[in-house]
Amino acid sequence: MSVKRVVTYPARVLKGLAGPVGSIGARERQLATDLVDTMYDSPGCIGLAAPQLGVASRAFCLDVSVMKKPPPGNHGLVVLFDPELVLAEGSEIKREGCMSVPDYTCDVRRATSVVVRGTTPDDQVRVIEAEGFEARAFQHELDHLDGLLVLDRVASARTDVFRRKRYAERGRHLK
Amino acid sequence: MPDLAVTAVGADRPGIVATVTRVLHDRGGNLEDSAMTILGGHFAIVLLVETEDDPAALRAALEEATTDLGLTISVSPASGIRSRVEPTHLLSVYGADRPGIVAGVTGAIAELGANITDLETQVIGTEDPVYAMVIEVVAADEPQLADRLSEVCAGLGVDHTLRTIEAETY
Repeated sequence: MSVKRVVTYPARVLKGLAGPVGSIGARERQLATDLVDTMYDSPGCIGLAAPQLGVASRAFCLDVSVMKKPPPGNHGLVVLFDPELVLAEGSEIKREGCMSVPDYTCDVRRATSVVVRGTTPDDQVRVIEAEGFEARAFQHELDHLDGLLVLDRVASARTDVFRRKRYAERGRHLK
Repeated sequence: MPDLAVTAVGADRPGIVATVTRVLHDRGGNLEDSAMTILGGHFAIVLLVETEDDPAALRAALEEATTDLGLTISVSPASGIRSRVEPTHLLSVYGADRPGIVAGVTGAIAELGANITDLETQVIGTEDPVYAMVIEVVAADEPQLADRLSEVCAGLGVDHTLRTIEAETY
């Protein structure tokens, strides 16, 4: 296990533009391991981007299959380097939390279906069509690579930002 | 009928809205628009009421009815423009809590002749509190506003995002 500390706002790395990764080597595979191990070790966490570990690189992992009610048709564990949003359709407001803005959740408008393309840790190009909550997770992680947090996406500071009411029990979502 | 602007502020407790609006209704007033919310431990009411009432008489009636609630009340004429102005931009500003964020950012907006239609703030977290503010703005010159906000927010050490409201829907 290589669980890292998750950095929180106002850490500057969360607000910058993350740099391209390019070719995949040992260092990139270690980053993938750090992301995945830290995600699975963090209660209720279904996605993590490299800037959240203090690394200004375009990489993230996500896994919505660990949710209590896994969204149907999800892709399980996904790790992508240099991901791009190819297509985004639909629009829906739902509540999101972020490990880098702890103790609060925000109502955020996101596309309901997306196509994302990126490179896997095995250096393969992967194109994923995601819907619903998984599409939301992709957009949240993609935002991290552009220095955007949920606070940049809310439409009201009073009605769209909420103190988190309950936490997932430690370990509940672990695989 | 003309409008009166009514404000009432006091320590929060049950019954404030009910008491104030009951007086307005009993005196033949019709509630037009209102904002009522808790600010810290206080409850604040700002509203427009369509009424033939005399401002001083309405104020006296409200004060009498709310003696137990200890509200600070004002009533003033508010005739004039009724049309709702549609905001063009949403501005998120957030950063480590410090004095001067609101004054600095809104000063820049006013300088450029842009109009604020809504402003809400929240302090999030207790250990290292983050001040979060979302402003709705009517702005004609977006590039100028964007540039000026970048300067001001950098000076204040806060982060910000300016979005067009159309861009909110995919």
